[in-house]
Amino acid sequence: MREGCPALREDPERSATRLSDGPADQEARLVAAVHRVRSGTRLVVALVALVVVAALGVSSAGFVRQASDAERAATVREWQGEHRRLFEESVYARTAFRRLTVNAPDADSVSELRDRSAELDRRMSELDRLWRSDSGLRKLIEAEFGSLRDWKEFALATANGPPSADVVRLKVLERSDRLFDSWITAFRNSGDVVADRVSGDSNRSLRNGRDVLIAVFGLSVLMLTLLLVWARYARLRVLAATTMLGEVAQANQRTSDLAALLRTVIDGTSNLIFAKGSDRRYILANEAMNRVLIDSSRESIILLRDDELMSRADRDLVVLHEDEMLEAEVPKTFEETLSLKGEVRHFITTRSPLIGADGRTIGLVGVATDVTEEKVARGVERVASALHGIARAKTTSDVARVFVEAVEDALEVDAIALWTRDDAGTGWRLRAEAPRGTSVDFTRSLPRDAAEAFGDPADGPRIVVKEADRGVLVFLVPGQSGDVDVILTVALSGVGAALEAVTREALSAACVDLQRGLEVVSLAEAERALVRRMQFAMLGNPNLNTKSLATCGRYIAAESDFLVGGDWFDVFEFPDGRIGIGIGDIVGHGVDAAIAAGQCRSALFGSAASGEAPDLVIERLDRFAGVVAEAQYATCLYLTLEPVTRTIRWVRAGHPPLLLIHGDGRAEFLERGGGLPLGMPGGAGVREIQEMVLDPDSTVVAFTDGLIEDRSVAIEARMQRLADLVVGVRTCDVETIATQIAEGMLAAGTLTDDIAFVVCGIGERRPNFEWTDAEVSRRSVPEVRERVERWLTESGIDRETTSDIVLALSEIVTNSVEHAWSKGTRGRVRIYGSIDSEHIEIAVEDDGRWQRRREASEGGFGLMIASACMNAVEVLTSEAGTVVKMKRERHSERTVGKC
Amino acid sequence: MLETSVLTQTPRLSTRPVAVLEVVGEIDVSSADRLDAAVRDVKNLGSPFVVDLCAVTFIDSSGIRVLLRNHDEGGFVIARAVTGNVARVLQIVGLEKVLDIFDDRETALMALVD
Repeated sequence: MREGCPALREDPERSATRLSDGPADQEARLVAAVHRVRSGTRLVVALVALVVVAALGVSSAGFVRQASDAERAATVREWQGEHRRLFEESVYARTAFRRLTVNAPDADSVSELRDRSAELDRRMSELDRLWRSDSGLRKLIEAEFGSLRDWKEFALATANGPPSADVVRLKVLERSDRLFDSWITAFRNSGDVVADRVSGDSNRSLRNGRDVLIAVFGLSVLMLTLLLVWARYARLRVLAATTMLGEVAQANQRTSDLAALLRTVIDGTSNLIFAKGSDRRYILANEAMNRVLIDSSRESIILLRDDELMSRADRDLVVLHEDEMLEAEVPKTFEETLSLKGEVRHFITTRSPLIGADGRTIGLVGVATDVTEEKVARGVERVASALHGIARAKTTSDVARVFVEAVEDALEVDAIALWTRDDAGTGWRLRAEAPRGTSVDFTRSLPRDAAEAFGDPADGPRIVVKEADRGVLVFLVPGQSGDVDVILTVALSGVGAALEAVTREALSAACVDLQRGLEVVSLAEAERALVRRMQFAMLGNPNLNTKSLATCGRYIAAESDFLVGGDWFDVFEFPDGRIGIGIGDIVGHGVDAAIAAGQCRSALFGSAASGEAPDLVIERLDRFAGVVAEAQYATCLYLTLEPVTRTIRWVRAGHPPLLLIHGDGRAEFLERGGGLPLGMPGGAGVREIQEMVLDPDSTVVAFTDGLIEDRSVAIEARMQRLADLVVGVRTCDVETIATQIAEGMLAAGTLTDDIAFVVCGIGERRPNFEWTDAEVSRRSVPEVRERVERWLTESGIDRETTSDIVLALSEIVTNSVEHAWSKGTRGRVRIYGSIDSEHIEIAVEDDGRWQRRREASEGGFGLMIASACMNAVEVLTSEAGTVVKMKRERHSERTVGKC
Repeated sequence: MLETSVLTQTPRLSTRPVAVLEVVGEIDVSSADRLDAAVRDVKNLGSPFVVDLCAVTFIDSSGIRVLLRNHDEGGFVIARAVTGNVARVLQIVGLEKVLDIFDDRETALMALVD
């Protein structure tokens, strides 16, 4: 026996170790043994079998020496009891196998079988332990199965050459027992075991039907033992049995080590490694594969098919890919998205054909990489990086737009729209969408409480519309109050599940950013609105209207609210008839600046209330600014005006100069006495009070730098533009001037800062004349005359003067009508006039080219008459057209009329 | 607003009837063409005639040009009122020295008899 079984001497320690391996190993042994397994797995089988044989081969040397007869008898009894139980187990195992293989395999039975088998293995290893502890037992067994002694020779004689180790070959020469028969059938039906019945003729050593020869190649000794036990109970005469493992094991020793290594390697990787048989059952799966496909209640997917592991659609996809690869017979790689264990996962799977020894394809092997995390992470990352703009967004709309664009850009969504509560809070309002015009407004029918329609936002996004290839995901984003403040709708199409998972994940993360962004801007917006209200509340009333002067103030908020705050003005009248005008600008913006502006205004009023000179007032304000941090470095201008003497006195503290429009229409900036801003050390010393007596009908404009600052234009250019705007404008109507300034400066550039200015006109207020006709014709001429005549008459101009002016005007307008444009075309004529205490001025402006030569050739009466009627007629021709400015003294004698 | 009418009047101390073009309203660039047409119509009658501008409230260079253009061919005198701006305009352009201008229609008619 010992000589006959060289493998038995091999390393009993190692075999002991193997036998006490965990259930997974035992399971592998069992499963592998009953299935036709290939590649690495078969090596495992061989190895396990070898180990068990080795266990059986424990030396018998100590048997006689170490144990008494009584003990031996007890041990044998124990062994007999044990192997009876083993037999029962074997019956169970058979039944289970049959169920497994004959009926449609179901996961539960496989797992059950595995559990049982594990138990069986455990008991067998106990038995082995007994054997090892008493070699007398070994002898006993040898006696029981004496005929096994020549097993090796027999096996060699009955087998044609060394058996193929991957085929478990069970040779049954004769059988008379239905149990054994069904077992063989079970093996056979499983497709993994070949059980051959050898006819009686082929071997003369078989004498009757109850003699059985069992030769098992590659089958584990466990199985062999089971067979032997069963044979005994079946009262079969076992002629010989073999696992043929002596040679096989020797031959495969090295490869079995390799197999162990291989197993370690494939279990050590996070990639999914698997092999399937031709029936598409898994015959190999590493731990990663098991983890992904089944939960912890099951241990392995071996023997399972994909339809037990995934949905029909996913299975179809996998089969499709497998078929494609098998047909091409070359490795193929696919990106697959499967819903496994209720979770959508993305894989990149490479499959190759598994070629058997005969060159036929017997299955496939595959390696898959789970890229779910990467894919989701990439989506999240893309969105996150695209969302950086949110930090710069200033308004809710900005945030919404940045978010929507970022998502559309980063994720493969069909459309995305973002809805916020409308101002009334009763409905929803589309804030941003991408691409434009793609959003379907289903929010119209939504109740106020979005949670009513979609459930608790904490449950995450949900699909509200789901069609075959299209879905609309709805995200509810709660605001600070916990109410849903934002609804996000995302339309998806195409691969559906994959996209959906990434989108869900990425957007759920992005919604956090969105929420934060919205909170920030809504706070900022509320603050800006508050500041704006404060700002206006703190401004003084700039509109005064007395007999001798009028003031008008304008505060124009910048287009955006971000630079709100800081500008202020105030106008007040002293009991002695003088007026004071203060204007200033605080450094910075926001609430603090608005408050400081209000403080400065109050401080100025307090300082100036008793009528002190501007230098004293500014000095006090300077001290105030010295102790109020926000007011430091603020600029200010304070001006007093004595209407009777038309004397202005003013002090500038770092503030832009006054704009003075003289009575004759000239405009200039009063740059004198710049001075330093408020609250600067030593500032008080360098400010000088300025004094000036104005012409009658002068206009003074005090403004903050918002009026002349434009990032794209030099400040000088803006100042020049301001001066150009008011040149020639008469003081009569401060409202008109203010409007003209505001419109002119706004038209010239973007308003980046608030603008504040006060216009103060000295002199009686008389209405100006203004008339424009975009398509002037001959018929316009009588109308113009009538209007101008009425204006002059109502302004108290005498009849004679009126008549002259009307005549002159008629001539000039006629010139425009007749000669400004080429025949058949018409153009624009604007007529404006003003009256002050001494003069009447009227100008005719057209946008054509006045053809003076032609006019002259026809007599030139027009200009002649106009010149005769007026004190001055000036014709200014430019590319833009012609302006004729005429002036008439109110009380002049008629020059020609008296001749 | 300009209206013109032609009537025939025989001056005192005369048996020859004279045509009178009576002009009412304002003469400016919008009405000068009509005045021009009216004057030509009267001229075509072939007899001496009077252009009566006494009821004209406004005239400017457009009207002056019509008068001058037609005066070149001779044959008429102008009557004008002292009121209105006609006298003023005629004075400005110095037409009083060129045209036969009288202060009223009767005087103008009498001048034609001579």
